[in-house]
Amino acid sequence: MVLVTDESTVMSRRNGRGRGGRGRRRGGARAGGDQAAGPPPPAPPAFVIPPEYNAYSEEDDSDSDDDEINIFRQMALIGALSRMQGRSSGGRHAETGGGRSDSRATERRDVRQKIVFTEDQIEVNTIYASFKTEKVTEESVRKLFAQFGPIKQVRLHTAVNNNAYDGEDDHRGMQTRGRPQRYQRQQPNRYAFVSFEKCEDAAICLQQKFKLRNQCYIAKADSWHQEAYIKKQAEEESGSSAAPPAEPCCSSAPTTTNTTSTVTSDGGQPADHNSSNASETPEGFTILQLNDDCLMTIFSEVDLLDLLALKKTCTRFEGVCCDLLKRHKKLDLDNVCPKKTYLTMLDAKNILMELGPFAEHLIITRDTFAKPGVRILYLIPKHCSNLKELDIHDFTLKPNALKTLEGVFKTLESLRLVNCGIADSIERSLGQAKNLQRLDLSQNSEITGKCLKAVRNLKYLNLESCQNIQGKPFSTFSERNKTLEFLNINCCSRLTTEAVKSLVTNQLELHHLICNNLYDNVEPATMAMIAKLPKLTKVQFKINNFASIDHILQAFAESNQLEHLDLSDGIFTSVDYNLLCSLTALRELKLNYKLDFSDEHLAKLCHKGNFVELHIAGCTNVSDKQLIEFIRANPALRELDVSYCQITEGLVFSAIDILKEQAAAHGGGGVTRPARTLRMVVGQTSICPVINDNALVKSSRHLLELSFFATEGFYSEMDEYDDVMGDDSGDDEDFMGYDYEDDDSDLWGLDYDSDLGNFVDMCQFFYDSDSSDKYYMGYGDYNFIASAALECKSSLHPAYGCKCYRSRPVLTLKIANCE
Amino acid sequence: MSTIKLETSDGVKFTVKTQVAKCSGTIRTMLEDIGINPQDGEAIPLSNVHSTILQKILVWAEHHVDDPEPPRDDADAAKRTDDICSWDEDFLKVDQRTLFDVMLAANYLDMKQLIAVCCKTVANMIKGKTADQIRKTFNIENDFPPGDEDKIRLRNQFCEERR
Repeated sequence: MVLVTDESTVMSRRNGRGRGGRGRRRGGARAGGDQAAGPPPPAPPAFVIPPEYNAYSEEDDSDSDDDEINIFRQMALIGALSRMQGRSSGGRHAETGGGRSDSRATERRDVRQKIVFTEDQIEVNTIYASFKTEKVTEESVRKLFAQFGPIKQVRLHTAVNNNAYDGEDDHRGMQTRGRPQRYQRQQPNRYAFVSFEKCEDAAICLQQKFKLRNQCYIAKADSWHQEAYIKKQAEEESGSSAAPPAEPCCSSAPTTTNTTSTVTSDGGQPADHNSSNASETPEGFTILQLNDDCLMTIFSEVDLLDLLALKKTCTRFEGVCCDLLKRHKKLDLDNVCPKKTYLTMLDAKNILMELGPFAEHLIITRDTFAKPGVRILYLIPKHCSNLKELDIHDFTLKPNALKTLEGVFKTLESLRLVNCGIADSIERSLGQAKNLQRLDLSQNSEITGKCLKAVRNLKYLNLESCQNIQGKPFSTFSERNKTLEFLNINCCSRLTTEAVKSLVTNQLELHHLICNNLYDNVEPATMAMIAKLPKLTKVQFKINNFASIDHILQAFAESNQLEHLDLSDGIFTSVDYNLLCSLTALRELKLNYKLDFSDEHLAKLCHKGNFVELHIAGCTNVSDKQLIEFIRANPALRELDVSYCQITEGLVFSAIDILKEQAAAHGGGGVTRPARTLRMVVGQTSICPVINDNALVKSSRHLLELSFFATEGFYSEMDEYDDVMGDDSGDDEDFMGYDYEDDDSDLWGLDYDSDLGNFVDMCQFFYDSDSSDKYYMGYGDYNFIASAALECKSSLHPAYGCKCYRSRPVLTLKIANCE
Repeated sequence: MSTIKLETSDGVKFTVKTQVAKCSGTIRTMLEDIGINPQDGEAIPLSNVHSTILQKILVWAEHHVDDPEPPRDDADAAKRTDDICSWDEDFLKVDQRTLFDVMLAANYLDMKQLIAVCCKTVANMIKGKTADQIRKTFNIENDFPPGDEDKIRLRNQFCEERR
């Protein structure tokens, strides 16, 4: 269920990216369905698209808003196709209508003629091959591949270390999630890039993957190995020197001197403007006459990818761009180019090549990429030599991928591997990270905590939703690493009494803790001991069951050092709000969605008078009147979240009055310091944004800032509840193809039975048994999937179409089982 | 309403309202800190600005004279180049030469708002283009020494090492 939520957020995010990206995505889908629509291949397109395929594309397009969703709803039926390509087709094929099988027959013939493209829509004439043995020579490679067509070039390399580009990762050594994985894996020794004279031959060769599997593993080489790309780049580099009439001033302008240093125009104007007086040489005035300061200001307005293009324009720009690029200490690949919906591996390579050396903080998220493969991460150690912080989200990191990344771990201060399928084998890698201070391993449910043995001097540790963290290893960690300041152990449901005790005795520096109110294996009395931690001032309890937390609050009331308390959600648990009143040091209080929190309780809190923040979103039992009292009683209040509350505009106006009074009383007319601003969150209430047009509100904006954001709560976190409350029946979900998240996991549907008929029946069965959307992910050429889905379509319930999209979900098929 | 005189590089003298002239940080500094007295009738020499450009800039300054000070906290603000107001957009619908002249003059006169608008306009011309398209747009010659990929890589390395 959690996964589903995940997915929907991904989708909303996609939607949020704006319509700008749609065209591109759609274009991609069409290009997949109709190869001729891509960049025109040099040879006449011999591959004719059968009508059904075109029908597909149109169908894709006609879906206005469901594009993204359908991407995930794609059918994947590769087994059938590999059979279709090779061996004789099964009974199902014969059953289908005559016209259709005809068209398929055409395809079978034509498919031999087609051209394969990389994800950047570049024609493939170079393939990658990795060999199992060392006994490979250039001649033997040439000989092996000459059977498919004339060979232009063979470049043979030896893998020096495991950082080598290794497409075989996903192919061999494949193991399903959950089973122990070998740490050391035999790496291929030699690999080669084989360039065919003709792209068609390369395509044929790629189809014969299975045949070659005993000699080597082959795959498309990346875009930058392709001749078409290299040619394109070369053209761009040299520019069309003939096209624009070269201006004489360009060469005469003092460009070269400026490339190496930033010229700051201190006071006077740089010489180049004076020398080329604008009025005298009207035609010769180009952008190059601007001083570096101006250029820098202009260039700082463009996106990163634009910057990289600028850099290649001329030497002058290059210098300015280099200076700008150096400032990109924080590199979030998701933000590099807002206009592009997805990045390809080529983009990633280009960006990292240029920016990697300067980046200190790198953020890579799986969603950023059209085809997220772990190989993208292999670019990191190659190009990023000065990383201090590394965030990786949602990539599956197998042990050997981790090993590759270890190179950058040495300098890291902060490491974030969220939802990366990490197991305890990360221990070795963590041992390399000697400078690590912040570690976030949230949502890696496999780790037991043993991997933490190696880390020392950690200040920040996030283990949220690491449901398999055991008590003992955690205690051991706690004894060895006594420097924690932040700890998140929310949903670490297997922690024990000993673990919490060890936490209390050892983490004397801890000042921020996020935990559940109760763990199954922890005695309530022990849980209350956390109040004794001497520096603990910020606590968030994620309340996930019915257990009362009053005894913990009681303990905190005794130590009375808490400044920040978050008890949001958990409507099942009633809290004794009177206890909150005895927490006199409390500055920030979050009680979102505490439905039983009412005026009466708020009135009691008013007496304290030193609140800075109060969040009571969704507390519908609180009225305007009491809130006004609260604002009056707490002159330091800076944030008040009352979204989803039953409040009226009167609250806003009264608040302004009070704030004005308080500002007058406080400032005493002097302008010693800016008056505080109260930020009030009023989303989803009767207050509409129109109120901002009110003259009084307008003129008081420095006192009261209204935010129309609505704080979501309990309802959106319901999934988590189920999860924590010991719902073990999630097996289906794993089975239902969600494994597609793993680049290299088996594709369940096809492994289940390689017979297409069976597969279709199975799909039918699951559609019938559960009418909600299911996702079947596949791998292979678009055409493969398209024809498989076609096959499937007629058999399935009409409410569920089988849609094929090229854009995103391309996964690895376990070929070994297809035999 | 007090006025001052400005003299451009080609010797043309402009009589400008002091308030408008003070849109320029440079002139403001001259008047306030250095203590040039405009009442003498002596024109302030702007040796880097041509009369046609100054005329244009004065039109802009006249229109924006009452604008509030821009917020200073733009360090982390998201880059936006689509927030040019329509008046400025029309104002900057000029040939590239004038645009760059205005920009240089604004830089010299220290008019931050005008520089920002010019920069955004130019940035919009750059966005989404390849290197070659940029060269064509701005009529720039490719002055990289012709060479193979190794040289390009070497150059990149050079940039990296310069850090």
